[in-house]
Amino acid sequence: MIWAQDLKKQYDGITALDGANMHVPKGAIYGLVGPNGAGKSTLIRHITGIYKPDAGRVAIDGMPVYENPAAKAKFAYIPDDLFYFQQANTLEMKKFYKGIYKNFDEQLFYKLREAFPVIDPKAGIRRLSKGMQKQVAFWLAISCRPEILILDEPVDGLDPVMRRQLWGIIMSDVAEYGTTVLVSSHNLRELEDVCDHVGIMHCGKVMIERSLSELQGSVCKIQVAFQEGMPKLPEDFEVLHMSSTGRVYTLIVKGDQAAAKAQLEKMNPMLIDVLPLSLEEIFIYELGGADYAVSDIIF
Amino acid sequence: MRSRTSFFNGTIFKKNITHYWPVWIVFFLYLICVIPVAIFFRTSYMDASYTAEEIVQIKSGEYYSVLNDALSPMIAFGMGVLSALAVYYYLYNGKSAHAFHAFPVRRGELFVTNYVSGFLFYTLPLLLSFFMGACVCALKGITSLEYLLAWFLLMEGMTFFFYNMAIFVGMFTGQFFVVPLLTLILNYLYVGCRSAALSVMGIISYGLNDIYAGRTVSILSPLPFLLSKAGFLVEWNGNQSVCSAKGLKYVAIYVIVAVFLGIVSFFMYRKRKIEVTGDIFIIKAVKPLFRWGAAGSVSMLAATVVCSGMPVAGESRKFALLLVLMLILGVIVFFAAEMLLQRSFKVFQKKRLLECGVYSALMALFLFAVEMDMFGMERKLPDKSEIVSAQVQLYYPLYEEGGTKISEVLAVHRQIIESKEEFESYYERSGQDDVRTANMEIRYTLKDGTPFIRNYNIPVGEDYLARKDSVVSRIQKLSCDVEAYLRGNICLNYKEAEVKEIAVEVYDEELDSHTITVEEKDWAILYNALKQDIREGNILGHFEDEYTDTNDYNYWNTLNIHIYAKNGIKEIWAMQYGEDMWSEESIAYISLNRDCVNTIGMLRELGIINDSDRRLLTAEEYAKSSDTMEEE
Repeated sequence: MIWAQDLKKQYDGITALDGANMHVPKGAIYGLVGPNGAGKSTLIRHITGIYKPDAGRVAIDGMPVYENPAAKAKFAYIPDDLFYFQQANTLEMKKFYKGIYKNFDEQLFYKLREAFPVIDPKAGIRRLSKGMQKQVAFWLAISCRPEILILDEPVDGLDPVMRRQLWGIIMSDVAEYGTTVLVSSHNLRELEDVCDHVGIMHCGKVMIERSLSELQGSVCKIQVAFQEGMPKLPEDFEVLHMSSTGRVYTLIVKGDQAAAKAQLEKMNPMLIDVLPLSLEEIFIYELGGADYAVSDIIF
Repeated sequence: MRSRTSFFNGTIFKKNITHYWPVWIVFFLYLICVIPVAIFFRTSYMDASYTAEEIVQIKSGEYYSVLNDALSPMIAFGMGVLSALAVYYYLYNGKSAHAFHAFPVRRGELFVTNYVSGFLFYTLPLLLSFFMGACVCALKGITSLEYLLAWFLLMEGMTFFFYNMAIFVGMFTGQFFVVPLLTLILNYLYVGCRSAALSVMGIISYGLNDIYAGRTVSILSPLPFLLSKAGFLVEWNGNQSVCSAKGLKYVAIYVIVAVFLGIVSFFMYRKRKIEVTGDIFIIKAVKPLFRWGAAGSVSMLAATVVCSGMPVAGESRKFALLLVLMLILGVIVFFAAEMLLQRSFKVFQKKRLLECGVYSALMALFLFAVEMDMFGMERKLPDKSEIVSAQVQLYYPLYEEGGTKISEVLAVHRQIIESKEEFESYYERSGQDDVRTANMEIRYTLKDGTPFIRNYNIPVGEDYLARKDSVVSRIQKLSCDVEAYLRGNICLNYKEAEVKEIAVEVYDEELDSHTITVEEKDWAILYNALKQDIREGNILGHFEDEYTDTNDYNYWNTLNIHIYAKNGIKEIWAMQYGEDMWSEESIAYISLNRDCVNTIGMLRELGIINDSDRRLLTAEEYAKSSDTMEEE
């Protein structure tokens, strides 16, 4: 649905994108994660057609985005820094969005009114709290009936209740209309529960891009204990990390977990157990050793 | 698949019109006040004693006057810039710039929609007020609607130009407040740079110390140019007020330029980088221009102001001071400009220091070039065939048109140029015994209307006055001419002028001044006495500070000749401004001194002055009397 290839962008002598590649499948909830300054917002602004890349291509549904209203009409974009017209209220903004987006669903807008009970649609938006302004942005964006929702740090700076509420709105929209979602965040934990695809950005590049099932199937954590210490492991057994407490070893193993377990069982362990890995742990071990600001993403 | 090309978006247009209603409503209300309402009220109150014909004339006069008052290039500038700022405001804020360019609207469509919106902000109010004005005119029986139409065209054309100029300027910047500031600077850039360069030349060049040359308007500086050229000329031809619209031709030129600027802006908008929103200049190539331009102009102006205020003797010292000041100020402004551009104090990178070094070297080179007259400005003389008139101001204004007199002025001028070293070293000794200089201005008006002005300090000490071939003696010879004197001191067309009254200011014992009118029968003999003083050179006077406490040579009293000319009095000072500034009546003030024996003798003979209650008073006498009165 969204496709970016070898995107490069420089300004003021700084390389903001350094050959970034990205592919968001249709219907996916794609989390774009990276530390501050990694290039997430710049990449999103290229995807939304705001910036023109110095090199590379961006397409939505096969169409180039820059200066192409047909491609742009497919998405609704909620930036990290929201924009509303001076003194405009929600109803006036709705009128404007209705004129701009052909698919704007006025019935849906009024239907969604129940989801935003605290917002007075006749009150000036700029007078509302930051959280309420975000809610208005979601309200308008969803009412556009977009095929894609592009969200740049959508819940950043909001309290946990508000975060939960907004994620709830996104998830129900995805469930109901099958919308593709591209969401950026500098916090991996934020995305762990909602995304089915994750891309990690660092220094203007998407370092890793996988589906969650792929990730979870590719790395496993095994606790194992042997009578006489850890025997020599086979050469094709790729251990990303190993630690021990007494005779109990904890291995992070790359590859299929069933195959790894079978191989270890052949060595007659006293104990063997396969444990679940969190997304955080997967990325730590995947990126471990490389010069990545993993701690910035996770903590 | 690419979407179909569209250049107009109704939603954005509607948003512009409804969102910025105060802009066009306020302008519309202003126009209603200055056109239909003003025409209505200013043509309403007529004295019952007026005849029908007089009423028509007064109404026309008031109508023209209303149009002239309502034609304001400043308002056009303000409205043009405001309209541009309103419709393109979103380009100067990251949030709005991102939001607008993420909408499914092409840039061309955004530009054209906003352009049309802004255009209508001022066009509709102008058009409506024009029609309302026409209705009021019909109501009041005013038929000359062509002037109202001329007002509309002039205002529309000027506002259109400033609107396009502001949009164009806006394509270079990412800062909202820079747009009006830069548009204003651009409007004065040419005359400003010219003034700055002339000010520098005025300090270090021989003969170029006249700043008036820099004040001439130029079509390259639109706002000051339109302020002086656009308007309505209302004249009284003896029977009725006659009106004519000025500046339509120039406004038409500006409209053509505006269309070009609009088209260029369209293409620039399509290429505009949104990521640099917030930068003062978003186009790299403009940044060095800004640094160099700011450093050059500010340092030139500031250094000349400081130099002019400092009593530095000697041309070489003056030059050294100017050079040092300009270089120091230039470096300061250069880096200040860079700090503005970078929005940081950390600007002293190697690259920038090198650039500043190049700038300073070129500036020093420029100053040395001016000092050594490498541009030939000091040696330059206009070609005689190009000169319409020559004006010399030493004793009194001499004004010559054609003939041998211009050749003589040119010859004297050439002599001054050739005597540069001699005159400059003489001037440096000013204040020593018998070293006297006087300031002399030579102004030529050329066939294309431009002035050519030079100003010199020429030696007027006894030794120079004694030599017949000295500059001062040659000018003295030109000045001992009755006709030249009367042309210079009364008016150029004094022969056509009618004398209405001659009066003399006199003082009584209490030093109160009184004006004594000369009887008409005595005008001729007084006039002859004055002519005799002119011929004998008595009227020329001495070169010393006039009206100082110790001056017992010049009198405070003046001979006042009140004149009238039906077709306007051509006074020398007004010649450069054209017929607009010629008035029908004027008073010529003839200064007297102790050498004017013929005139003073005649005034005594006629009983107009005496030694008691109708006295002549020197500056010294006046000062002494004032001191005495203060002591009492």
